[in-house]
Amino acid sequence: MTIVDRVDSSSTSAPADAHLPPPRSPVRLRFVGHRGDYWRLMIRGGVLQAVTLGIYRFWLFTDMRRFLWASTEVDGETLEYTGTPIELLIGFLIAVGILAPVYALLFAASLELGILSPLSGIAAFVVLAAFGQYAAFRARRYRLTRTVFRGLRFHQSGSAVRYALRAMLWWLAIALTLGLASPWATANLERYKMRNTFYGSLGGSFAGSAGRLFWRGVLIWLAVIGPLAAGLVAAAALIDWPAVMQALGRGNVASFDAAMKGNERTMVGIGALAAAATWSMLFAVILYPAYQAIVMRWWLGGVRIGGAVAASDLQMRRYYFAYLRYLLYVALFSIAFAVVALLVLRLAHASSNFTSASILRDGVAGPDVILAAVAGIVAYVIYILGVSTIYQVVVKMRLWQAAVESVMISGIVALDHVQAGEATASAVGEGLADALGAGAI
Amino acid sequence: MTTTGTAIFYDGITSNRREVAVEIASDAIEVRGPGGCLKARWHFADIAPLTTQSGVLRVGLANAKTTARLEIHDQALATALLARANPADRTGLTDRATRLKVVGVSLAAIAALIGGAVWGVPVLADRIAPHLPVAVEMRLGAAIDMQVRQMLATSARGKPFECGAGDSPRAAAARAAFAKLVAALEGAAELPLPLHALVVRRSDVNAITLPGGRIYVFDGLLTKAVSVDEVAGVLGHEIGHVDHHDGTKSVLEAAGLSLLFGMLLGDFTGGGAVVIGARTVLQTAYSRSAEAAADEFGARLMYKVGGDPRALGAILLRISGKAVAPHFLLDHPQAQERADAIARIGRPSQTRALLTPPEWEALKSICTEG
Repeated sequence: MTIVDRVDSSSTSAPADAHLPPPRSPVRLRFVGHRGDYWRLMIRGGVLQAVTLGIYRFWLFTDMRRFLWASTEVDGETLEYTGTPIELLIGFLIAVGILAPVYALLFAASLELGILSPLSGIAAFVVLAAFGQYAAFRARRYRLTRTVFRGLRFHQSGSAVRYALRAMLWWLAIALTLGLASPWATANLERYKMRNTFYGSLGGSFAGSAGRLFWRGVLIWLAVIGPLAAGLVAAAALIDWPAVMQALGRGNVASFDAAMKGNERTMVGIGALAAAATWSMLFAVILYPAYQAIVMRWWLGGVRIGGAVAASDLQMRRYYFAYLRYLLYVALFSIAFAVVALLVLRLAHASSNFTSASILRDGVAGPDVILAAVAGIVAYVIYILGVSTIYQVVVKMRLWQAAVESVMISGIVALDHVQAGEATASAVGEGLADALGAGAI
Repeated sequence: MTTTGTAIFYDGITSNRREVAVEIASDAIEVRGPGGCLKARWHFADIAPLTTQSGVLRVGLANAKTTARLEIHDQALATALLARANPADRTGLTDRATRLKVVGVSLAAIAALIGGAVWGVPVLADRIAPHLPVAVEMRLGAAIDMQVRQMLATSARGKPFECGAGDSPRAAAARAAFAKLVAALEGAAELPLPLHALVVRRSDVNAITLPGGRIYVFDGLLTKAVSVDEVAGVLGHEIGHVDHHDGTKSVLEAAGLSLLFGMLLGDFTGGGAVVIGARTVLQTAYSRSAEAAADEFGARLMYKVGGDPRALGAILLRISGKAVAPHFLLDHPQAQERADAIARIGRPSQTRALLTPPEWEALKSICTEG
């Protein structure tokens, strides 16, 4: 084995014998894109999105994917994204056509059950969540069939309906176990997705172990959910619920305080619950990047395509750096935005009959009030698009880069002589995902 | 100029990496494998440059099912090929033209969308609302009633939201007075559905109409009113909303607008603000004409039952005399304009009292008595 390895390292290409290709040493993926190009692409896209009220997003998403795919190099060869914006647009329009009756039905159902009754809210949530899972699976198929590597497409088999049902059952299990079932859910769903993933005619699989993910993530779970659960148990045991209900029924804070004065146990219970909730929220925010990094590293390490085996040495600190940089950039952008907004407001105020009296004046909204409302909306849209552009470049792209650079593939020789596979799929799934707000890169 | 060189070729059938010889001929590029056998011959017109890392030219066939790819690392050869192939793509001209076209078409689409929202949605709502079965309208009213009660029944402090529900004889008298007033107006209005009018415990000077004939008169209005005719005028105005199905129309309009802006614009970041803003601004515009129509209906109704139609204008002017709260987007036309329009309807030659003085006293105290 060692001899073969040494011989192999001197000549990596052009196998001497097509039937028995010599094994190659593991290959590390590279990220070859320039960040400046991505900034330019994203800023231009943000401006055009604002101008077109978001319709440009199909073109922007396509540009983003082209960039990210072309920046990902596997064994000296970059990926290629062949999807087009028109496909995404048509997929979206079809999705609107599919969803409009669903929304109408949900509206009718909510009338039947009472508009704000919790039941109708839950029903709508479940229906739309199932649609979202269905859309996510079909969107994945679209992206895979638009990914070309060495002149061959990827593709995906399997049923989106079956995937959505499976995902909804797992989500139920996750909810019932307060998130403890999540590693098994993730592993199961990833296995379904990867077993239905093909590069040409070469099938993929997923080897990530749910148990391993559980042990890696359980400390985070304990830090976030543990205190909350303990707080809830303490609250349930200590708080004198009938007394609290009675005091709340009286309706104001002073009488509530007075009623609770003598009830030490209840006050301790309420305090414990508040402290636990604060702790959980704080740790959820602090540990979120760690959680993301753990899941991503575990996922990358489980991916298999034929005999090609991925391994990942993703570093958690790259996630934290990305988020900290994001916070810094957003703070700077906010200051700049506030300064510009104040200047514009000053100018507008000085140069017009834009007085506050007109807003207070009795009567209908004048054109100046509508103008002020429109200006407010425009400013809000510009700010939100700015922040989302920063997020896409500083967080999303850097995390993509970190993930790509962490991957080592052994047995890549398995990808050398693959036959072409199936034809392409439509972008309706992408459209559904987009219409449901579940769109992603 | 370079016309030959080497490149890497993927034939689109297998993932085999082939080092090939490339020659730029008169009208096409020729790809030859070892031994000179022709692997591919691509016409310049069909060649499309594709995305890849910088420093490498990757080309394929445009508008073709095949995913065959040719990758040229030799800069001189790449330049020579690009010079012959589609010249527009080299300078990014096509890209820029596409972007401009997208912006233009999008702006046209947005204009159509706004047009649909401003003119289409109200017209549709106006057409659909009168044809909805009464049962549907009542159910809609019940659903909205739940929501409205949650929002309004806050200052009740242990007393029921609804006034005049008590058992005392004075509460019964107040209830009877209100019922008499409502019955007089309802009898003259000839509505397609039964009215369900209540006095509710709210200090604001207001009255509201929900779909399905539900009218809430706020206690604050009774406090402000100096005559029966003023209360009756406001009731007449609200009955006008019932007759015109305005509550149902506004629900249909809200649904239509949120469908138009929310769904067609999709998950556009910041889109939520656009949706809410559009809805606020546009529905202000809808209700202006609806308010004027309800005023007219109310005034004519008063004329019919022998009350003074101008009382509605009088109470409107009194309420708006001093702004109670900074109303950002008020949805009622200016009070003076409305009072003038109401006055034009005139006054019956003989008016009659809609309630006796003791009944009016009982009605005024409906919320303090029960």
